[in-house]
Amino acid sequence: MKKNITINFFGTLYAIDEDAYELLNRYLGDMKRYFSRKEGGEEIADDIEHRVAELMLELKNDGREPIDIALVKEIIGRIGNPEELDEASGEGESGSATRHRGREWFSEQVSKKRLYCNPDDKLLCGVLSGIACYLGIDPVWVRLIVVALAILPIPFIYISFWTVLIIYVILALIVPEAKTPEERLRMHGKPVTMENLNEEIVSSADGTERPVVKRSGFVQVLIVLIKAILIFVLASMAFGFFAFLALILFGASFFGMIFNVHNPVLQHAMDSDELMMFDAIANNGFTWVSGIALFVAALVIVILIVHVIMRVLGKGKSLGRMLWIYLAIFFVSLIVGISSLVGFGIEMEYKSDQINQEYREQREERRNQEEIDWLTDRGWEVIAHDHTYNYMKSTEHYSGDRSKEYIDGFSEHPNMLYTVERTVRITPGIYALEAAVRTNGEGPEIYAFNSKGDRLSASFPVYANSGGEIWQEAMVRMENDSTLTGEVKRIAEANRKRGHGWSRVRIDNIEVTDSIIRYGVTNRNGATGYWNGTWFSATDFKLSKVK
Amino acid sequence: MNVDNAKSQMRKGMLEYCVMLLLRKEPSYASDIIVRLKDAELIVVEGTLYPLLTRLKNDGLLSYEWRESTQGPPRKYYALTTEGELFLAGLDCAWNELATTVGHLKAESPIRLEVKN
Repeated sequence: MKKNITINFFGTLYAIDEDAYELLNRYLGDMKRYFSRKEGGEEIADDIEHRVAELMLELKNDGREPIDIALVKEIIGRIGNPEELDEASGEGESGSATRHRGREWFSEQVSKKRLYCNPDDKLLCGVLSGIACYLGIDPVWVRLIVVALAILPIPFIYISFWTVLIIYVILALIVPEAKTPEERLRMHGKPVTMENLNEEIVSSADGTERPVVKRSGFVQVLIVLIKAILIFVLASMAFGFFAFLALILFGASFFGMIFNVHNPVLQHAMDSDELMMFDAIANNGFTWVSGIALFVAALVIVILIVHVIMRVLGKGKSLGRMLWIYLAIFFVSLIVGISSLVGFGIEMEYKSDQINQEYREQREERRNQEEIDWLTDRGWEVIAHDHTYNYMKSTEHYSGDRSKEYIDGFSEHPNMLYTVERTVRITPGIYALEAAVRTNGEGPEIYAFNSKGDRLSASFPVYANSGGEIWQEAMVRMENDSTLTGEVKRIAEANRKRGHGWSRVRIDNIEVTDSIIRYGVTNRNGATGYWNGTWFSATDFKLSKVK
Repeated sequence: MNVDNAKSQMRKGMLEYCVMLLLRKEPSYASDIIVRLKDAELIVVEGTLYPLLTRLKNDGLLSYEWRESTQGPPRKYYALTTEGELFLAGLDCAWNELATTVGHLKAESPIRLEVKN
């Protein structure tokens, strides 16, 4: 019994056996494929198709329907195989080259053994059975070896269950199922010749020679069990990636909604630079790009896993070339996703530096303003403040009182310049100016202007951060009378009995004829501008009328 | 090299010329040409003709027109172009020379049926 179909070929209906139709179709397909590589090839293939139609029409008119495979073979024999046509038409010298190529093409078609999933003997997708066909061995051995590799902890070649599973999944996606007779021949490594092909077509049409392997009830149950486990594993993987997907989506929109500078709750809860940081994350192009890219990558994986599940259930087709497109999308989005994450990291690093920098500057400004206010409150005027960090300081007062404040300039910059001045209303007379001072380098002095405009000054002795004349004096007094308490004792014990380097300096004979005096302190020698230290301090300015 | 192969080579060389000769007589469609060529044993497989016709057409030596057929699909009728006529005239000359030369050569060397051992 043979299946018989009706085809419409150039407007005429023909009754034809199904196997004969398959052969005819393949023949015309081969012609098209073959001639498509040549100039004007489409036209040639088309002409040949017309010729086939004409010969078929002759058969129909002779009443030889339904057309069977023998008649189709006869037609093919008359018109010839692609390679015959090419050889016969030999076009001079270049013809020999084409002829050679033509033969190569055909032999390539004939002899290539290829890996397919075997649909006739499969447990899951027929991958291992296909490999067995390729190697020419019994599928049982391949299955046993793979299961052993997956489960048994064989020393040296121990491969985990997951590795095997992933490789299987990839193969199931890549390797196409042998569907057409041609593919079945290739799977078994039989040459694709007219005879073999016809045989294969005939047997598949009969359904007799294609042995679908029969299995016992126990094995059937086992197969169902394995399938269930595999589907469960794959489904959990798919679910995992799906969760990841949802997380990305939710996370991205959550961040965008919540963490921005306009959110009043956050404005209340966060400090301005924290807010800036979160806003930078939420509204950063990199975050969005990497979010979307990773989303796509996860989506591709979910699609692929679903596809494998379909195949295990026997409903899916091989992805074939689509797999490469999927994989390309996956890798591209993975690379884009990761690199924009890295880019984001770099940008955040840069931004956080920037934010920190701004914050530091703000704090500095705030502190500086407080210090300037401190000076202003005490009648001091800042004349110069270049390359210097501070204006005043506490914690190292000669009295040991860590809260007592004093004028202080500090910088490692060689061009440091710090000068403060005070103008005081007084009655005319002769005055003396005294101050407690210290420094770690030569240059600093206190100075005063008399009414003639002369600048009188007194340089600081250099004791740096310990000792100092005030401390020495206190130490001497303590040695002479150890019962002393109060101020003297505190001075002697300051800085763990080492002192902070303070001394007293004095300018005498300041003649003041009008009622104003101006005096100050600076880190640079008034005559030479010399300065070789990094800090100086001054306090206890005392103006006393001598006469 | 067997004799069949040599014959096939000779036929192949002739094929183009013969097809053009057929078309000089009257425009024909591929199946007519095939019948004539098959009668003359110039081709073995029919498909051979199609690449040849397409090449000649692409070279501008032939042109074709579609004609409705009483049954089956429309047919391509091939005819010589002016250029084709000139080309064929050239081939005629070449053939005549060839035939003369071959005639002379044959006359000079009569057939001997002795076979040397």
